[in-house]
Amino acid sequence: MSELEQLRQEAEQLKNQIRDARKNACDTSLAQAAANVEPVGRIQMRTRRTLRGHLAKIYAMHWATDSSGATNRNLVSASQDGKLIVWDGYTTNKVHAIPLRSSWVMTCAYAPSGSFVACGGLDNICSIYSLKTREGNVRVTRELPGHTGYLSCCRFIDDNQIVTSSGDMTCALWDIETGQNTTTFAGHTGDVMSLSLAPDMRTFVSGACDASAKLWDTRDGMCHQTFTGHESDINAITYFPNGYAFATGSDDATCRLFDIRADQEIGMYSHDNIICGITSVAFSKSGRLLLGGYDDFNCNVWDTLRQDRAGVLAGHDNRVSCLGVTEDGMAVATGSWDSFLKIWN
Amino acid sequence: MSRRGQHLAADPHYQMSRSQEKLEQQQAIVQQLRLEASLGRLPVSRCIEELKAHCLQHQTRDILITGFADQKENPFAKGKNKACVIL
Repeated sequence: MSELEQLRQEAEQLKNQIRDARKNACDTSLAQAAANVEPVGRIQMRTRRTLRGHLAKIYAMHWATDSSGATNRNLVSASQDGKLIVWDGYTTNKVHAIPLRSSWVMTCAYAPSGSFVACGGLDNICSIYSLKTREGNVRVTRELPGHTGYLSCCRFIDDNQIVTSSGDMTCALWDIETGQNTTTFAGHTGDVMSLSLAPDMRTFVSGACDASAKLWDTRDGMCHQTFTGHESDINAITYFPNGYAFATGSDDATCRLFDIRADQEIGMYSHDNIICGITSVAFSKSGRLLLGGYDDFNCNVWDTLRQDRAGVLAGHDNRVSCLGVTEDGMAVATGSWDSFLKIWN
Repeated sequence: MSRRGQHLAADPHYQMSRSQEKLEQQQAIVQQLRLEASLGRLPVSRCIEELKAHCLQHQTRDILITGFADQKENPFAKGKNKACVIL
């Protein structure tokens, strides 16, 4: 037997080993274990704010964190009108309207400190903008070239480190000061569409068009776990608040819950009436609600434990492309191809 | 494929480097699978208990679930959106 054949056989054996180990760990189901949990009841939220100002589809949004200022209720949004807008969520005022060098933007992020925002898209570059320059204007402070495919998602670890995911099938960790790609995370066999940093930021998870999610060690670049189950592209991924699980949204019309320590899928959120893809996912502060933005213009609210739909946020006139819950859990923002953002609670 | 392409593909040096690539690729796949196979896994029942506990512990303070007893507490409620800004 050639060495290649031997390796192929070993790969098959290892895959079987992993499958069996997961089966052994699977001693119950979420449906069984949560059968005695009180249902969360009907969730009805109202649109409290509509943010008007973008002139084209909104592709991404991100709330500022609470640590960036006690009363900071800012959020940043990115639109293919070629602008990043930083909004004050309370007043709906535009704090900054930032013209972009490339209008083909797909992602944006707010630094935890509140001092920077980042964005990127079909230009393959992650651009960092300083919001607090001495001159008082907003400008690009760093461009991070290196990806050979589109930038699908980016998230700041701190003012000097950002993680990106790309259509080139890799993720990358960057040192913003030097502009260097310090670590590359390779292993996905399809475009990486989304990433989520763990609460302690030592790991992150990524979702890709190869229908798998991967868990990475931020420091050493290693993939420690690969989660399968979805039947199509994973478009969105987000950690559960305690860092031990994460949820995904996919073109297969389901959201799923994966447990990291059990190393497997443990929950699925779907309905026969729902046949369209999910673009974005977020947990409420306790994790009890899982919100998903859908291609059919709605945002569905799922009871994480009972796997039922608990509510719907209907109000957009086009696909919901992005959503996010504030750090204190007070509200959820949705962004849409209809060019509006809405804030709900 | 063009005739030149066919000549290149048939070149034994090219073939060797292609099969070397395949071998290295497969070695990397096996290495990654070994790493993932060596993971210790906790029982799903225990993991779900912890998820349940986290939800139940925190959901009484989860505004998207409980709402506001008094809309005056809601910073996003109507009428609260006109802040004075010092220009």
